[in-house]
Amino acid sequence: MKILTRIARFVWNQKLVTLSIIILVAVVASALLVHLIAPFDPYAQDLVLRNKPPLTPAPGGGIHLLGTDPLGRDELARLMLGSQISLSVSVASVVISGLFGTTVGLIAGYYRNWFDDIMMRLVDLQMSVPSLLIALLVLYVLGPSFVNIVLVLAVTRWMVYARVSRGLMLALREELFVEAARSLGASNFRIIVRHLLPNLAAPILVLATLELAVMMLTEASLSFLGLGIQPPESSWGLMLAEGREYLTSAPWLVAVPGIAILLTTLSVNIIATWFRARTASTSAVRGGEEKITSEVEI
Amino acid sequence: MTDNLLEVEGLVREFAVRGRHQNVKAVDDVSFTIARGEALGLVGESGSGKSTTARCVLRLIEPTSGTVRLNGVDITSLRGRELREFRAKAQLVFQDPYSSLNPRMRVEEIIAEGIRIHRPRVKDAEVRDEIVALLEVVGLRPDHLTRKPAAFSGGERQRIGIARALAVNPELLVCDEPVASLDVSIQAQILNLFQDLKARLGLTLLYIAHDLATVRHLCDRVAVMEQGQIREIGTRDQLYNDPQAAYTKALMAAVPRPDPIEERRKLAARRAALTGATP
Repeated sequence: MKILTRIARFVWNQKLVTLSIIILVAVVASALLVHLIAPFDPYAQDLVLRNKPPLTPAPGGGIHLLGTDPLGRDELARLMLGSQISLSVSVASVVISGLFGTTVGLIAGYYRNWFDDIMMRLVDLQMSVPSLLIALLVLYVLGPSFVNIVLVLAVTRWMVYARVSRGLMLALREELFVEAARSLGASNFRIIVRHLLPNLAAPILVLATLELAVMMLTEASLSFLGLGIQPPESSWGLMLAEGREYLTSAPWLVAVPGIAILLTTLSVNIIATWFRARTASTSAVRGGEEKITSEVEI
Repeated sequence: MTDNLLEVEGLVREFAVRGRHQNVKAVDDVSFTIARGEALGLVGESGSGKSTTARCVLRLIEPTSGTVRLNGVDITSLRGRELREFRAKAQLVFQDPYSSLNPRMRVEEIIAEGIRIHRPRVKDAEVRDEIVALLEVVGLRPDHLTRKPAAFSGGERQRIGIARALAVNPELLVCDEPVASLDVSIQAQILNLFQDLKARLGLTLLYIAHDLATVRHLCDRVAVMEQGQIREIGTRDQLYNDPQAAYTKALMAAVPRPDPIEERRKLAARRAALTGATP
C-alpha cells in the first residue's frame, strides 16, 4: 500500500511528468504490439476509402479513428507501424553514438594526450558541418536502409557525447577521490570504471534522453527528404512526407504524424528535464548539467 | 640514523609556469628523515611546498630530482608491481574531506577499495569484518557502512578517509592538513584519533599543517618550510622553546596567545615597528 500512496503522490506532484510517461509508454506499447492492438491491418489498402477524414466508419465495421491515407489504409494503424521504425531507429542510434562518443570522451579527457588532440579536432571539424548535410550525403552514396540510417545518425551525433563526457572528465579527474584511489594503487582502468564512470552516468543519461528526441526528428527529416525509410515500410517522417501533397485536401495526413512526433519528443524532453533536476544534487561535478544544455543547443 | 622509515634527500620539484621563462621550484632541495614510529610535523604557510613535498613522497607526482627512500628502497624509480606494493605502505589523508570521497560510493566500498586492490582474493565476508573493525578504530558505527558520504559531517568524513588509508595497513601515513577544514571542536577529536593511532598501531606520521598548535600536540619533531626549502628542523621542544631561524620566530610570534594583555602588547609592538619604519 505504501508503494501505491507513493505513486499517487508522484502523480499528483508531477502531473506533466506522469503524462509524459503515459504517452511514452503508449508509444512504446503500440510499437511493440502493432499487430495485436492495431484496429486495422496497416497494410490493407482500400482505394474507395482514400483520404477519409478522422472518425469515418469503416464498411467492415469499426471506425477509422484518425482517418485514412491516400491508399485507404487506416491512419492509426499506420501511425503505430511507423512508431516501430521511428523508435527503433532513434533508440539504436542513441545507444551506438552514446557508447562510442562517451568512450572517446572518457579516454580523451582522462589521458589528455595525442588521442585527445586528434579526437577533439575531429569533433570541431564535424561540429562545423551541418550534421543533416553529412547524413544526406552519406545516405545518398550508401543508399537508404535501416542499418545505414542508424549508423549515419550515430556518426552525426557521437561528438556531442564526446564533448560532454570529456568536459566532465576534465573536472572529475582533478577530484581528490581520484588521487585517493591512485594513492591506494588503483589502476587507470579501475579509476575510470569504478570512480569516474558512475559520476558520469547521470549527466550522460540525461543527454541521451535529449538526443533521443533529436534522433527522432532527424530520422523524420531524412525520411521526409526521401533518403530515410522507404515505402512500404513506414516511419513518422515518411508519413509526413507522403501527406504533404494532400495538405490542402486532407490535412490530418500531416497533422497526425506531426503531432505524434511532437508529443513523443516533448515527453522525452520533459522526462529528461525532470531526471536532470533530480540527479543534479548528487552530482560530483558542479556546473556539469549546464554544460549539457548548452551542448545540445549547438 | 639506524631505523629510519623514510629518508628524503635533495628533493626538488619544479613546475612550468606559463609566461615565465624559468620554472618555479615548488620544492627546492628538501631533505629530512622520519624514524619508525615517529611523527614529523611539516609546517609552513600556504604555497611553501608542503603539499608538493607530501605528494612527491607518495609518488602522486614525480619529483624533478632527489631521492625518497622508504625502508631503504628508493621509490622514485618504482614501476608496475613494485609501485603497487609501495602504495600499500604509504597512505594519504586529505585536507578536504568532501572532494576526497567519491559521492557515488557507499562507505563500505570506499574503505574496501584498498583491500580489493592489494588483496583481491580476500572473501567478501572477511573484507566486511575488517572494515567493521576499521570503523571501530576510527570511531564510526557499523551501521554507517551502507550510507554514502553525503550523509556525514566533515569530521565523520575525515574519519572515513582515515579508515580508507588504514585499510591497507600502511607503515607511513601522510596527513595533508587533515584538520584544517574542520570545526575547532572536531579538530581536537581528529587530532586525538591520530595520536591514538600512532600509539596503537605504531604508525609513522608525516603531518602537514600551517598552524603550530596542532603540530605541537601531535609531533615529536618539526620541520619548518618556507619557499620550498626547510628553514629549520628539530625536536618539538627545541623548536618551540628556542627557535633559531628568523622565519620560525615569525611563525611563533603569529600564534595567538590566550592572554589578552599579552596580545595587546604584541599588537602595540607591531604597530610601533610599522610606524618606526615609515619615514
